[in-house]
Amino acid sequence: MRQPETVLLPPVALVEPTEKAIHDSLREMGTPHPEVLLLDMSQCEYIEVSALVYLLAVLADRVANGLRTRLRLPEHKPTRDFMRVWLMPQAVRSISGCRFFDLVADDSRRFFGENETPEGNTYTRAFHGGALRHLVNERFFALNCIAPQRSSTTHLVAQESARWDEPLIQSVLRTHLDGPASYVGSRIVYESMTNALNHGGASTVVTASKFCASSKHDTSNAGHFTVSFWDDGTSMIETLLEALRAGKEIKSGTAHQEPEEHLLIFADHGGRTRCEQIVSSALVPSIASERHEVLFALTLPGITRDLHRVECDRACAYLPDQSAAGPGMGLPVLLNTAIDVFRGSVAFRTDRYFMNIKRASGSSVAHYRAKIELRDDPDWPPFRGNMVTVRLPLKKTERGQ
Amino acid sequence: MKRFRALQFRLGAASPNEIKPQCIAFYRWLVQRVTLEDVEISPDNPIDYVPLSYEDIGQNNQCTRVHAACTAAFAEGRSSVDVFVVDVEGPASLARSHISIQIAHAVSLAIAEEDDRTDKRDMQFILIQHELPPETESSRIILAQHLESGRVAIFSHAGRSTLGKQSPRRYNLEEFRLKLTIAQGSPEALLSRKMIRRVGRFAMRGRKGAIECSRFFYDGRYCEAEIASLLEDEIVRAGLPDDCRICYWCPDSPWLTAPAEAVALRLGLRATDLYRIESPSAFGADDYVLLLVDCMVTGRTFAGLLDRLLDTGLDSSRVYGVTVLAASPTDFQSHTRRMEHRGAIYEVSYFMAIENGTECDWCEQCPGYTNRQEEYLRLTADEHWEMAIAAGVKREEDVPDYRLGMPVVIDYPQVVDKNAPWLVSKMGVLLAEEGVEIPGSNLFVCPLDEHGSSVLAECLSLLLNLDVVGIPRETVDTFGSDNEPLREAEWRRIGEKRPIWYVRLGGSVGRVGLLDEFNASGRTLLGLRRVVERFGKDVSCMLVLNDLNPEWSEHQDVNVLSLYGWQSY
Repeated sequence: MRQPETVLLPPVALVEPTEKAIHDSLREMGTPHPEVLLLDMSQCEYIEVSALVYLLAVLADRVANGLRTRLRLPEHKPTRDFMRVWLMPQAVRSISGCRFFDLVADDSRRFFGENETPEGNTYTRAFHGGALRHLVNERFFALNCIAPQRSSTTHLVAQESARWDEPLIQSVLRTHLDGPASYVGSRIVYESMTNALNHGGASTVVTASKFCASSKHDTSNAGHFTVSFWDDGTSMIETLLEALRAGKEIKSGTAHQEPEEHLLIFADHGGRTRCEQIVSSALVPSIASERHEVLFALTLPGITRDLHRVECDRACAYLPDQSAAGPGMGLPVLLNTAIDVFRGSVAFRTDRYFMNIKRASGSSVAHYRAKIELRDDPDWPPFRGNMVTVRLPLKKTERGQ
Repeated sequence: MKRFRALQFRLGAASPNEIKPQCIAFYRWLVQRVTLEDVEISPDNPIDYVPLSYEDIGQNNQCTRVHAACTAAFAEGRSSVDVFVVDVEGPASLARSHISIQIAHAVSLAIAEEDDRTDKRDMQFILIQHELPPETESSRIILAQHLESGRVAIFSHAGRSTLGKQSPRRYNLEEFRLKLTIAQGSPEALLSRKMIRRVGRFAMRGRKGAIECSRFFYDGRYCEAEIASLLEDEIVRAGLPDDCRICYWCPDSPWLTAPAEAVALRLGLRATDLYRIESPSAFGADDYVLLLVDCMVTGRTFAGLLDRLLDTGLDSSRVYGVTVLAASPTDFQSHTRRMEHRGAIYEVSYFMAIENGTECDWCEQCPGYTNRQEEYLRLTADEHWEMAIAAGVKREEDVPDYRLGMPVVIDYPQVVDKNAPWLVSKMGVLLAEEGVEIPGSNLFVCPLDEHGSSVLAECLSLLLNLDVVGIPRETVDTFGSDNEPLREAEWRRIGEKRPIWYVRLGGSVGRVGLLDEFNASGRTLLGLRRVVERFGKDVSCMLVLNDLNPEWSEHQDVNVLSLYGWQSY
């Protein structure tokens, strides 16, 4: 049997170091698609929830390319228990179609069955707060793989956002977040899910979330609440470019909004800034626009891949020229809620780009600061699908999980 | 005297409906408090009810219906209305930003247009939303100038408002919440209409550890919000100390954990799940415990828990008992059940009184206990006949014109009356299994004013958020007949009269399901179907409690879903 190429994931597997470790290792191997790849998590003492979502995206890409992947589990028991509680085995099975056991490296199989009772899980035992412990035990925040074909988009979105409307999660959100708790379901989850499900060809959507206390090394904030969404559909950049190539109108009226200015920073893979510019929210990308500009434009009010969708004909007749919150307002609403209301940030991974948007500094004329990094060379395969990660800061006086 | 007009957007509703008088009273009170003047409702088109189905909300473009409805109402009322109330009602998870942006935009346009007129009037707008939008939220930015000038005020369901320092002079939060609760339906009333009571033989611990059975098992999974609300009110009403600890016990009722923990978190109290800990940490003499249980029938579990607490040194006078459900209450006025234990008297508060189900005639011949955790998709013979025996039989009432009444039928209205939440929860699972999505913009129609189907309809709406429209029996019968000229005449008649059900069904979006207590000849379902199809709508399924004619059902091109059935027609 062919020996697997190995990627060693870092001890603190935040999503960016995880992404970098995989990328750098594949570069060293000289191929983006080794026939057998071992994702070695043995050193991981902490895995960020969005890193789990990222690993699933990598796995999905390899499955789609007919490649084998093996997983070496963390030596650190609480990290393994965290993966159990977040239903990583079930998510891996859902994405790969294989039993988790079959994907796990032989030397990690000794960990199966190590918790004879639920109480053996060291991760959940560590919780102090009853409400959070209950939600974690109920797998409220766990990885959830959704197959859009099985149900209508409306149904799936309504179902997912309704989960966030229950009394307990509302109390938890109200306690830990500085903003209207119900906006998490009705605006952040609703808009992110709608966005994911509307990407062409999406056959799987993965969601997960987590409260994270501040790290030992960084006590400048109280921690954050993260919610991630990934879909395996066409890149949102490509979707908009397709509309432009087809000569479609991509901007709807947004008469209520005065144009704003945003700071757009474009950097290469090493983080070196290639250009910094102030961009108006009235920007309409064209076929000649750079791909990173197209990505940023997708977050501007009224930009949509298809202004004249079927459903528009009847309803838009009421509003001939002033579609105050019509097509192309989903992502702007997401940004407004996450950044302006909750003072958080929103990150996008798609194609070869990573974009992080947050409030610009107080002294800047710009409203948002969007930093876009080119993650790969054009000859390297792009990231599969689209990943959106929303991070909301916890209240200063609170600590998370 | 100020005149007001209200516009209510109902999230997740599939068809137009009437607004409850309690709601109108709430609007009147609120307008009076905001304007500090006497108010009256505008006599011309005072209330608009705009349903926003799941599809409406899900598709961005459809949200423009909100703008259109606002604009039309503002234009119609501009010469006679002083205050417009715009209320967004329904699940908070559906309150997308698009909706509040549309409303804000329509309001600011109306104000701008009014200010341009030579005969301008100082119209005011009161917006009621789930949450008070922060200053950085999109819709609030649109209205910033008008909020500043006082032309617009936004209220959250919790009673917070943009009126800022002016609020305390006009109303207090408790008063606001009380009025809104009355308008939306009290949690107590909703609890009794949503609590599922399963029928069967459920094993329970009897005297001296023996196993006995209870004929009922309660499931509050649809009432978590109501239980949380009642528990919070109870703690506040009883004036329990700030360091009170909520100790709850619900190994068979996972639906109680979330409300208990949510309330503890909300009020800053400690919560302890007594089932999960070996023994509660020792209590001091000054500690105070709220002992919360899911259900109190014999009182033995409660007494056992008291023992556990008192054995740690807790003083009996510092235990406050609450149970969600209680059999044999001692005081219906104060909602308490008295119990004596170790020489102390406990007045345990309860939220809902239940029947004592421990008197079972079958224990001698019991074939086995019912599984609490799982149940069959449809009713078992045992479950069906247990309910039927309890309800009894009667001569058929509500008989269609085209056939004679059956001499003996199960008293289905009674069956439904006592078991509606359970039956509806099973219908929900059945619909999902058969691919009829819930939630969705599914509308159901049923015969109007027939007790059983009316109760089922209300429950479908409460538990599954489905809309149900009742169609008068004479119309259903006419459409169920083979006389086409008669059907056409009836269609013309109702088209001229435009009764409320006609408007609701005509204004609905999406597919329509048919609902009835039982199916005998199939004519009622056929009549309902023909009415629906006359509106150009598709029928998604036919849903009946009991199908007495499965042979007819098998020949339909639409799924006939039933919880039970046998061929008897």
